[in-house]
Amino acid sequence: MDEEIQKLLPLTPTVFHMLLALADGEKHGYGIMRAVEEETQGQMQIRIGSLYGSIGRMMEARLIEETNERPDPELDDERRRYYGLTAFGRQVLTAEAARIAQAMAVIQGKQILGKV
Amino acid sequence: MRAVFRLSEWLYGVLLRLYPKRFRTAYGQQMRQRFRDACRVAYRQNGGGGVLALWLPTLLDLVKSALEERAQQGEITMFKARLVTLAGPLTMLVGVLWLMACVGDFVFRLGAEGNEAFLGLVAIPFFFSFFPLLFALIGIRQRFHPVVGSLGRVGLALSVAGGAGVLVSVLTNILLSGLVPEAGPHLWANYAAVFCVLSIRVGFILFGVDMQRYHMLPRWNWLPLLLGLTVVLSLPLDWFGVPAFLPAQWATPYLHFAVSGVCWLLFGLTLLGPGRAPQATAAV
Repeated sequence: MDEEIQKLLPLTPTVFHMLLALADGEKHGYGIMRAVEEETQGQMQIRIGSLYGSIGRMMEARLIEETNERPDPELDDERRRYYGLTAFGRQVLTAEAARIAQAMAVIQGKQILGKV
Repeated sequence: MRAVFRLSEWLYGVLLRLYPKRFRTAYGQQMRQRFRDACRVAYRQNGGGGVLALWLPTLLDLVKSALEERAQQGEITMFKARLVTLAGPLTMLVGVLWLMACVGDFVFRLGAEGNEAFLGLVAIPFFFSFFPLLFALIGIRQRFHPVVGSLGRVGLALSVAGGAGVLVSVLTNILLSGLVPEAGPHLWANYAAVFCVLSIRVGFILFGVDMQRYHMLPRWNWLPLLLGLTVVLSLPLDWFGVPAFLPAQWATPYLHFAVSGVCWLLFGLTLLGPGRAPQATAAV
């Protein structure tokens, strides 16, 4: 399993931020787009075509899956499809986060960003 | 406002056809819905201008991701392979269209049909020949690029760029004439088209020189060079002018269409045959 995870690292920024957006619960496509934009303070915007291309590839890689649950079926459009992290997707996200944290430690050690 | 939404959504639905069918079936409906959501947000924030501003990044992303999806599913490779096979028939079609233009030119100059509409009929097959020609040139480049020398590669690239350039400049001219009719004829677009035709010919001269060295066609390896050189039949007239009383004024455009048309036809015929492995004669 570890080898399978390592093969996927480092993740592309789009995939990483999409996994991050799904880390706190299932979202539909537009929700993922909005979450990525908010979490990156507008520095990353995923457009519709790229979003669904990435969703397709991430589903093929078993990082995410389509879920049947609706947060509130009364309020939600039933045609919307929701996506959530798979167990494997969460492991990949954790491994990538650890890799970034390790790099961050080096950045801090070398005071690239000045004294924090 | 509903009209803008409807038009935008309809146009987006049409453009979704750029994606492979499998992708469209899986995500087309959702993408339309997301686009509708994005339109609503853009309108709420910036009105009609916001919806228009949404279009440019959406369009760029759509073309980029559609190409990625097609490449992912191997469709682009398949398309290129198909173009290699089709290069021969397409080149022959170009030859037929040029010969039609040649016959039209001949009849026109004989005075059998002395009106402007007939001149249009002469130009139509010539103009439409550039559509199959572009795909044929791409196919020819795909087939010979890996086996020719650097001169031939430059020539093939020039010819493809020229083929695309002719279509872009002629279509731009038509579009501008429709949108801004009061601006009159756009001469720069005509000059661009002539420059691009010249690029195809120069490209074929370079490619033809390499063909003389490597003999990669099953027969008639001199054809690409001859195709490039037929340019001398048309351009000197336009550039330097020939007095109207000289027979050359009458004969050279006719000859240009005729010789080029026959060359395209024969070249297409040779492309139908299997290719040869490069046989260098100049390199020792």
